[in-house]
Amino acid sequence: MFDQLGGLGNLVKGKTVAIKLNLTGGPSQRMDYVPLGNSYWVHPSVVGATVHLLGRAGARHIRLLESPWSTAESLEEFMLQANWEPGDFLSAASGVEFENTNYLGRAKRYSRFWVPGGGHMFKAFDLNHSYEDCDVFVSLAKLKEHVTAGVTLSMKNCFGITPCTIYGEGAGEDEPSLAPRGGRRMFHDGFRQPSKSSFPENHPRSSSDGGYRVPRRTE
Amino acid sequence: MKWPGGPLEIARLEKQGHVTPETKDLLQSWLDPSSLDLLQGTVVNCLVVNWAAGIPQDREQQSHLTSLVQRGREVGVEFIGWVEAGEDVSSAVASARAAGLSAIASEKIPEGQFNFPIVPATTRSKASWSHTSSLHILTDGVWPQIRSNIEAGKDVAVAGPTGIPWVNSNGWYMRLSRTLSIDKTICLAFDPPGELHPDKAEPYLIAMADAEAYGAHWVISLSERLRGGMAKRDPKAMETWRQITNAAAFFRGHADWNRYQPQGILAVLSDFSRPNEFMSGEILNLLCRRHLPFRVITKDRVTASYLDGLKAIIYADADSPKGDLREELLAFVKKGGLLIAPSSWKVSEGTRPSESASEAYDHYKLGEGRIVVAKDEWQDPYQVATEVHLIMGHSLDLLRLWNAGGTNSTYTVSPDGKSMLVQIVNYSGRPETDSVSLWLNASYRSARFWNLEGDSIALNKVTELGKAELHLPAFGVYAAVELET
Repeated sequence: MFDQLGGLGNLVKGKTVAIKLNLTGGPSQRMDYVPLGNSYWVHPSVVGATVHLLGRAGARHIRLLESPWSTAESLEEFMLQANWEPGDFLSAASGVEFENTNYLGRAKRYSRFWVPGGGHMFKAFDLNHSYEDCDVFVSLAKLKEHVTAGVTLSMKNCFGITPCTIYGEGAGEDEPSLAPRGGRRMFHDGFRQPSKSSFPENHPRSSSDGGYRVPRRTE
Repeated sequence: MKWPGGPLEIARLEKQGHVTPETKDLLQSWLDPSSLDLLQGTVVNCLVVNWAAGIPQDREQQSHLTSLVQRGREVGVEFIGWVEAGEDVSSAVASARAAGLSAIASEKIPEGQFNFPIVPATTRSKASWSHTSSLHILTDGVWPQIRSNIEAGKDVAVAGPTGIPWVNSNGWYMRLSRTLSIDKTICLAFDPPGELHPDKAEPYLIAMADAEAYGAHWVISLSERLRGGMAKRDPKAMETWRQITNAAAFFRGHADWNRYQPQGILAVLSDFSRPNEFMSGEILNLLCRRHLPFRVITKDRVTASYLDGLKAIIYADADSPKGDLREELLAFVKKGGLLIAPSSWKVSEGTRPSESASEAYDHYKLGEGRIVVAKDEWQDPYQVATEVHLIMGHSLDLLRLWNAGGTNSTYTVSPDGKSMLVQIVNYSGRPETDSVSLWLNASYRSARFWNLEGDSIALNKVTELGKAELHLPAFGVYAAVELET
């Protein structure tokens, strides 16, 4: 499939590739008996195959990233609780790393990302360093329904790049909290603003309707 | 089972200031021999009755009980007389023996030979395990349930910091008591909260299962409303009673499970007494909540053979151990073990800090193993239990459960090592929990599911992502999975 799109080599050879996975919710919850990869998480075989192909195409570093639900534990530990084997990804290519991006992580400061044109909701977002310290960014999506957005794909997956230490229900008031707590309700209904160390909403008095703030678009 | 009634119980409740005429009638009629008809066809064969409280009504109470005891003995029911704290045990023993009781239960155990069984009945803090009685009754258990804010006017469950519901359970203390008492039979005597609806059996089943899953027993105690309904043979109350006695029969039928030993590669080491009692006890409590199986080790029992099979030890006490205990623990680490200790632990013996994986702990390598020492004094046992699990890593998990948020589990193995048992108690009180999956880090040939109704179903292994899981049928407050190697 990648070859039909022009191949991966030109894009990733010698580069650092960041892959935002879609591992929504807690690892101990399932839809009925269905393993998470078969329902609303990206399937581990898709992750493994992607990592393998990126490695074969010459990627120097491959970072698997996600902001797991309400925890600062490592991404590997989070995966183990879902019965995934992080070792499978490590052996799929060389230079594979993991990072929990739901908090500051391994960096000393958050990276600021300015939104071109000033942004609809925020001028800028403060994110874990991994989204800056990369040459190529991949949003590895899961095709599924979403109650507000209609469908979750690559863009909705990127909701999860925002650290809950700043944008979560338990975020610090002035500074980011040390560990993430809760989800990102503030994006959906604006019930509070991010930590003051980051930019507030451009229009804090705009509609708090979830459908206004997270438009039901699929294009 | 508690069988409250008669003048002593009325006097006790009057002292608390809430006795209605209906209550008095019930407490009088409950000691009528005909009330024993309720036990027909059940496994209930021992009743705990009010016996002496050191008040004038003692004699009247014992007189009231005469015909009940006589009838009970005819149908194979034994009686234990409850002696209130402070009452003269010698005279209670004499009257109990004369009346044909099998034993008395008393907080105070006097010196001397009585040639009559006296069962210690104490709070946790007053428990003395050196008594010769093979049975001990603990009187200060909590009513097991998901903790709610109903008392505060909010009909919502209380959640821990990560959102999983907070559970009140006696399990951890039963596990500890069995260790401290060297496997005495432990019974818990506590009463249901007043607001329990007589139509609902689940709260009683949870109380029973919470004790049984950890190798202990609950002295069945029914609310006044339920007893009132049963006295009138109300069909709904009788259905609740049927479910309670069915559950008791289930556990009686699986009494051998009580001999199974806790599985665990993690041990909690403490003297489990003041000033360490709170921290060590709460660590046990919260490890249960994480489905993290553990063994309990007291400081006086640390030997190399006792530590066999362990991969990690939490040293839960505030002092830094010395002498032989320290040597044993360091030997455990040198052979590859992980020791997690509070900030009071003084690291020496040539160890040196390695790259720390967490902000809250210093990591030291020693031989093949690690010592991980808290940088600051432990304050919050919830945090300690969470951090211990993180430091150990989930790759060492012995079991994992999905869709089991309101449950605790126990993992034990038979004395011959051929059977493993996972018991799951659902504290939500919902009539049915479904879609629970179980994974065990163990090999087994077959698996069988049990519920409290005695239904037994062979389970097929389902391979997901290369790992064998078990998909459990829907169950109410309790499920057991028995695995044969």
